[in-house]
Amino acid sequence: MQTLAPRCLRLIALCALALAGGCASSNNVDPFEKSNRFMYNVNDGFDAVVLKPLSVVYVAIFPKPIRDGLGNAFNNLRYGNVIANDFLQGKMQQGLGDLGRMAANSTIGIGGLLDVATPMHLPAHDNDFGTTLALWGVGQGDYLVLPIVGSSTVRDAPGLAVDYATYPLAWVNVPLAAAIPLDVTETADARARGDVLLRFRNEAALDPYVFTRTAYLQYRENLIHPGKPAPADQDLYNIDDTPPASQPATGPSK
Amino acid sequence: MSMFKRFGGMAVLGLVLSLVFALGATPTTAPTTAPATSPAADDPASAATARSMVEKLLSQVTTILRDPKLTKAQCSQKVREIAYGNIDFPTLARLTVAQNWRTLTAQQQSDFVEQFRTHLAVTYAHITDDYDNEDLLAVGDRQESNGDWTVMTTIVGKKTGDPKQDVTKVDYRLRKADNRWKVIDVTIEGVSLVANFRAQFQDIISNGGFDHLLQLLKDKNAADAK
Repeated sequence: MQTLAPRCLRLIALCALALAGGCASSNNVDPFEKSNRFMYNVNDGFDAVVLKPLSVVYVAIFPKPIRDGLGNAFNNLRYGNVIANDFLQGKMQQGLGDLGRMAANSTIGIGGLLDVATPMHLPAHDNDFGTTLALWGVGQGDYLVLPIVGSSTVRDAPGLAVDYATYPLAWVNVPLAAAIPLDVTETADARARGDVLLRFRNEAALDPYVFTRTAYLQYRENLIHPGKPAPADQDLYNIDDTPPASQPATGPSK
Repeated sequence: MSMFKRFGGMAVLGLVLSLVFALGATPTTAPTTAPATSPAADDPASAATARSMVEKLLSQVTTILRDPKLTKAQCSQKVREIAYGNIDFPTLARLTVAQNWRTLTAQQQSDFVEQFRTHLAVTYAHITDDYDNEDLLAVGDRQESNGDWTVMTTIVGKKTGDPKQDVTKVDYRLRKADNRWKVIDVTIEGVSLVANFRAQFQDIISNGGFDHLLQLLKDKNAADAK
């Protein structure tokens, strides 16, 4: 159900969009579109063959309360990443609160299965190294589609390494017999949670690749600068179709 | 995958619930504003400010969603009717094709608005089915430079299963036309409906022209209608 544009027209399309001076930002940020689309299709295939059936089995085996508990536990294990980045961004109070959250959930919450921290006024936060880099002044970078992980950018990709470095089980010598089922279950859980959205995207979008890219980039921007409208935003709602004077009507993008 | 991890649970519900407001009724009525009857006091049409309009809208929708006597199909139908009355489809459709709009004939323009509305209606026909007693609350508003207003709302879930996603931020952008406020965009956690469709449509138009886009929409609508 995907729309694959003829690749031979891509260069012409890029030039045309740049000259039109309109919403060309999506192509300026995706110079690797050809290989990104390829990886997107690979991921999609992998998802259909491996991930989706896995999540179906997961949902069939575990009833909802147990899945909720497992989801909590996995979020808790990954929370070290949030804490580290809180401190890296200078958010001391939030960092300490998040540290308390992880401690409370890990102990009173029985290994993270129960979320006891939220009622204790230690709510969950979302943070990662991509956000840290953004707040340190690094530009967004080009859009990337990574194997299995999916949407990312040049700025967000290093966050995967930081995520791994702050994962407790990366430092503990967990035998493969336990580590693999753990990873598989975590993946299945994440996939099951995202299922409604993925189905929606595949049904609603005329071009799921572009849908995913636009949604991802906007979502990231909102995470880093919550509530602040993007600079191009006002042009988005301008019915007067004259291209804004500030747009450079030069040749092809970089 | 990491993105969809964050989008799991309540955020997904938030996404689909808010997109309820992009539903359209069956494409039999002309794409103009509501008939000029004097609206009741709790009707969004009578709202003086954008924020009060959204508050009335959310209140009406929540009442319907929480009515135990309605079937899911009836729920969906009623919410669709409210959405139809309060969304400015021609403007929404026009914003998604941006500067290409001027190059279209009147016939192409009206075809496009029809197909786009059907596309949204067909796609979101069953999202109200997943409602699980969330609160829909207006939490703020701000004026934009061109006179539009953005009203910020949240969808607050009652489950603690996935605590990161219990609160979903949804912003509605409203424009005043014919003395009443109408929705021209819905932004969920920073992802704008207009921006997203515009990006897709621009890509398709640049690679196959506008007629290709129209044909894709027609094919999709025909396929989804089965």
